[in-house]
Amino acid sequence: MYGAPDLIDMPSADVLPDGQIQLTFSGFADFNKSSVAFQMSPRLTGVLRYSGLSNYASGGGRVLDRSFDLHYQLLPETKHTPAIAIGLRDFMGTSIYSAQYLVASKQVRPALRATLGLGWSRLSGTHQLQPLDTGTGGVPAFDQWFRGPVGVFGGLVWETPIEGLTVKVEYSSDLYTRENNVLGDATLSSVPSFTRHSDINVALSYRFQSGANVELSYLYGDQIGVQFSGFTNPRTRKTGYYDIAPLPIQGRGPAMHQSTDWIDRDGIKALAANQLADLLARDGARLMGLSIDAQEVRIWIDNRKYSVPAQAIGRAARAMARVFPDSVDHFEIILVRNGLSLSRVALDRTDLETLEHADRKIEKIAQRSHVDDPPALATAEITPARYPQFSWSWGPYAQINFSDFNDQFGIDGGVRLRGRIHLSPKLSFGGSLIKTFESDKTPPVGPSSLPRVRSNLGLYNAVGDPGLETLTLDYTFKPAPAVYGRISVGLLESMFGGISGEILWKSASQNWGLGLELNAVKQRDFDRRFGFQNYSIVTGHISGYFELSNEVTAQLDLGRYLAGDWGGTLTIERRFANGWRVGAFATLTDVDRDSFGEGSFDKGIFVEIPLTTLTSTPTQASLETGFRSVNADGGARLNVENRLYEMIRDGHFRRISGSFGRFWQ
Amino acid sequence: MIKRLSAAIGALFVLISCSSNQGVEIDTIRETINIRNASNAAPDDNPVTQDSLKGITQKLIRVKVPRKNISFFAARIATNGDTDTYMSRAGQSVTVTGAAVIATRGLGFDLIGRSGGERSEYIFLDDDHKSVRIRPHCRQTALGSQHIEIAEIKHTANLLQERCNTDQGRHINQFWVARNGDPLRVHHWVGPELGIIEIDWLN
Repeated sequence: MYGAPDLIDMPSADVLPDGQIQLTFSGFADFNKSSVAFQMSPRLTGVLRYSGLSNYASGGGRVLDRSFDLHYQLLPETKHTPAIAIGLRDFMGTSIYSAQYLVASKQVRPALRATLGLGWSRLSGTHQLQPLDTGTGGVPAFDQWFRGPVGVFGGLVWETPIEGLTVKVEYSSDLYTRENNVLGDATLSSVPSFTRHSDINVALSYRFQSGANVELSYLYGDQIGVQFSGFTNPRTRKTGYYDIAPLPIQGRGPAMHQSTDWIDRDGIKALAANQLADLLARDGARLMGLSIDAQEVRIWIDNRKYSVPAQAIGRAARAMARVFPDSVDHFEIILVRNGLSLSRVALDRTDLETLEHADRKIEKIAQRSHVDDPPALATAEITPARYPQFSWSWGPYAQINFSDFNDQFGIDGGVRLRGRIHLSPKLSFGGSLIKTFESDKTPPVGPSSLPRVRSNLGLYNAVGDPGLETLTLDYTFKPAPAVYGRISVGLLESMFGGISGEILWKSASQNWGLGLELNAVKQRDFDRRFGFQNYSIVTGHISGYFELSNEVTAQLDLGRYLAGDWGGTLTIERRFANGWRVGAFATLTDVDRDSFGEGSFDKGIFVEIPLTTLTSTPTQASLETGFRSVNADGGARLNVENRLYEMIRDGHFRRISGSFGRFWQ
Repeated sequence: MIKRLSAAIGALFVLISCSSNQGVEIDTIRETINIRNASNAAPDDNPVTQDSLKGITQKLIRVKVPRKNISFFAARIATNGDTDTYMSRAGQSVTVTGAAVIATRGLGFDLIGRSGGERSEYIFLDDDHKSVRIRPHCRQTALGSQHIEIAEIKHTANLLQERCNTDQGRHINQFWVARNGDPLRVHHWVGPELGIIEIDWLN
């Protein structure tokens, strides 16, 4: 019922498959839960839950509650020992569901799985619960975890001969003390939603071939419960991939025939540039620069087709192998984005030839490709291109928003139209228009101790729809091989406009970087046109980026936020090789807890889904959505587009090396 | 129908006939581009005639993937060591070593590679770009000579058959090879999604 790996209402020691994202909706009596579980690593599961408890508060009032769980499998199951997991339920919310547990699960027969656990607080089998945080919640109560009486719970899961159908039975140590108001608490409802007659729960669970699961349960001798869950897994989805085949490598003749005379032919560079540009264009890349000699060729390309950098590199390398005569034995491919050279990938042509059909060719080409910072593009090496260039796109957007003031959540969704004119590789002008289909148009309620930098969202949605979301002039530059810069001027985001500048130092091959951003901004009018209100502020952050593995990145931003508060934001994200991105962030500033509303600090989760994994065709487009507080004024950061780290990371070592699976595709 | 078939092969021939088999001459590249980008003219299911192949010196194959209802002609556009890669006008490619298929591209669920040896290994990519390897258990049997007809030409071929088991099920590979060792026809399993790919060498 909690959306994490569990029996029925009790936890188990199981984990979801690595990377799985699971949505669960469950309910019984007057209680329902909507949960998102994410298997963050092979052993660590995180759950975000939004619960509705009708007839819970005094006078039959409804309570809406957010809660977070963490579940960690300490030991995986072996032939002779069970899997053992430790977990924290509702560890930083209002503690309505707060519990801690240590649990073991074991396959005891081919079709029978047993679970036995110890529980604290809500799972203690007593009425001695962790006290409710009647304030704003959001701060972990470390001193109360695994304290007090201990309860025992457990259960069995039997896989029936009918494929997909399982039968569950469990002994519950949750006494539903508050829901039954056993202790006569005046703040809770005096008429219980159900009466707990039994410790035993039973359930029938059916898993469809698609993986969706439906569960019907009989709970506590009194209630019928239902649960539906569905999942997706970025790692194991199987959608195929439809694209034109890459050019094959043509083997070269004997070395003695590798003449270098061709380099002296008139117009050879222009001819090669034309033919290479044609081949690259078929694979969605633009030739930005070319440097040729008889043994070595270096190209600068802007990949506009593939969301996976190694695929663009692989295609470019094969195009080079088709165009250049046999004497050229060394290729260098420099990835460019918004006029910024991101990294140089050096390859030997001989490796391309010998590895194209070799055993372990993916691993071997990854080993033999060298990634480092690129040289500057000299004027003589720039291939002529026509400017200005215009691009546009449109698409839906959606965000699940949480209100810290009334505990409600809703969807903010609509259509966004984007357009941009590139006046040169580094200078562009463009913006976006939005038309919402569903949004919160409620004006802020009550006084605020902070400038209303975000809590006026409802007014923006009411007055400025459709509205001009952004309109900026952007310039990028690169003062040193590993230093990137950006200046943006105009309507920077839907609520603020002004000037934003950023410098980022990050070498292509290193796994960390440092950035500095400064913004002088003024609050925009609610109509989302060109006018401004009186509030203005200078904000900025120092940012550290740490690529902990090919998939996991941590980002720490320290600085001043839009309401003038000072603090920091920690973001942890996992980005799969195929571009799926799942992450969470938390912001803590010097604003007092009450000003934030429930939760005490700003936090949220986000998911980015690359469209290529949905359409099975190559595209760089993606859908991004999230669940976050949108109208908390504390900890609000300017939402500038084109932040440098986001812009350059795909062209750096971690992302390239993590995507070599597609080099040969 | 026959006219359309002849036109399809003829168009392919025109596009490839300018290509040098040396492959590294700058002037040959445009033809390769044309092959990759010409509109996809799915060939008819009619038998190929010698008339429609007249004058074509480039190696040409006909490929079918019955499970996916895919069918196309492809011309050899690259040789790298002992492998030949054939590409269709619509950008599908098949790479072979002798009669054995070792890679496909542009078919949706492609065979990324195949290693030889006593127990061959088929390599695919999952959606997270990680290698997925399948190692069938196969038993080879020589079934002697057979008479087959390809493009109105009768051949006497040696038929080699492989009966294979994988976790996904069973399949049979069949290789028809001319007495001089040239491949004539192959029915080769290339993965659980595509199943068997059928290739006829037309010239």
